Amino acid sequence: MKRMNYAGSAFEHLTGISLTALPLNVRLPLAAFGITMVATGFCWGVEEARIDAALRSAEAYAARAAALDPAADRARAAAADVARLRTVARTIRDAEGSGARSAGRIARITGALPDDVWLSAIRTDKGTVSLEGRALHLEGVANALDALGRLDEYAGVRLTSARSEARRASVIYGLALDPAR
Amino acid sequence: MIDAARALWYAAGGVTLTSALVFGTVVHERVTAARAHAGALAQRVADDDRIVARSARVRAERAELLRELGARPRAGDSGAMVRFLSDAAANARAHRVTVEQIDPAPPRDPEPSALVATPLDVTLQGRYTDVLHTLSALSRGAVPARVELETLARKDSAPDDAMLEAALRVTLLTMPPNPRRAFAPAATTALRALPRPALPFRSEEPR
Repeated sequence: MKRMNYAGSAFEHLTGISLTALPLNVRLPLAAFGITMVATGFCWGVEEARIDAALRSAEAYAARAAALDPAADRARAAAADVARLRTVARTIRDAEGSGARSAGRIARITGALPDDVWLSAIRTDKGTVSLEGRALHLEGVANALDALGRLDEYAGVRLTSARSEARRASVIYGLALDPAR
Repeated sequence: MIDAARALWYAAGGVTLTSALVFGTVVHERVTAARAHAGALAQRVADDDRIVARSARVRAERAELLRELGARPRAGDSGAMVRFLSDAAANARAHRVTVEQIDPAPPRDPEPSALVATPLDVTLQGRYTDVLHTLSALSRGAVPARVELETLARKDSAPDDAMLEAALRVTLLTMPPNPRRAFAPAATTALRALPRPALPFRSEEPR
């Protein structure tokens, strides 16, 4: 015996649309379409809520930033002043140490020279130090080149001249120390 | 003609594809922009908080530096040159060195720190150790000075003569007449609006 269900479905009751009135082959695509629409709407709502939340939080930050701005601007200006003042103080400290640094450089150069090598002049120009002097032998000039080449603060040492002076039985030399880059 | 079932399948597929496209581009862009806006403002608030929190320490350091630098000799004040010359004479006497010559020199490079620079060519005469000691002392006088040795040579050509002549470039560094205004304008003048970091949106940006 065939059983009949005469009670209407909840969907039919809510929407007034009778699914049973639709052909069977339409019901599944219709359901898929409906689900797609609902899912799209749901996703849209979620994304809108996320955008709203981000903008609400941005507004709160903007209000706090506006309240903080005057104090922050004053603090930034004071920090800029301090940076300028520190530069000035550093420049003065650097200048106060410049004489001792110059003297130290000269002392290191003269201290590095072998005993049989003498200096007659030191000249500095843009970091390059030129030396002129006298040595008993050419070996003394070679030893001076070797010793000065080991000073860390210079990139290298060059021989600029060397000539023997028969009258005094010595060698007059010229050397140049190039500044380290 | 396509039947109703096929049309519904196509419609469902179309809606799915269109949604994916719209969410992947337009909506994603809006979400990203809104978050970037909030992030930039949060960063600005964090920066402001940090700098305001340490402002008392910064102001105290500024006052200390102004006090220290304000006590230094000022430009346009003949007292600075008087003090330098007195110091130079005292140093020369103490180290048995003769100050042969002091001449104003043309400036070479502009002073980068806004200090007022007065360059001088100074010639000293003395023994090696004494000249080096004087060199060191000259830069540490009452008037800060940058001292550079240009030449150090035997005074005469005689090799046994221990007297040396040193040519120095001495640059006196003095404060500008109003150091507070020159170096710390925010401590003296009314604060003008400072440039703010650029933000992707204004706070009143419409959603």
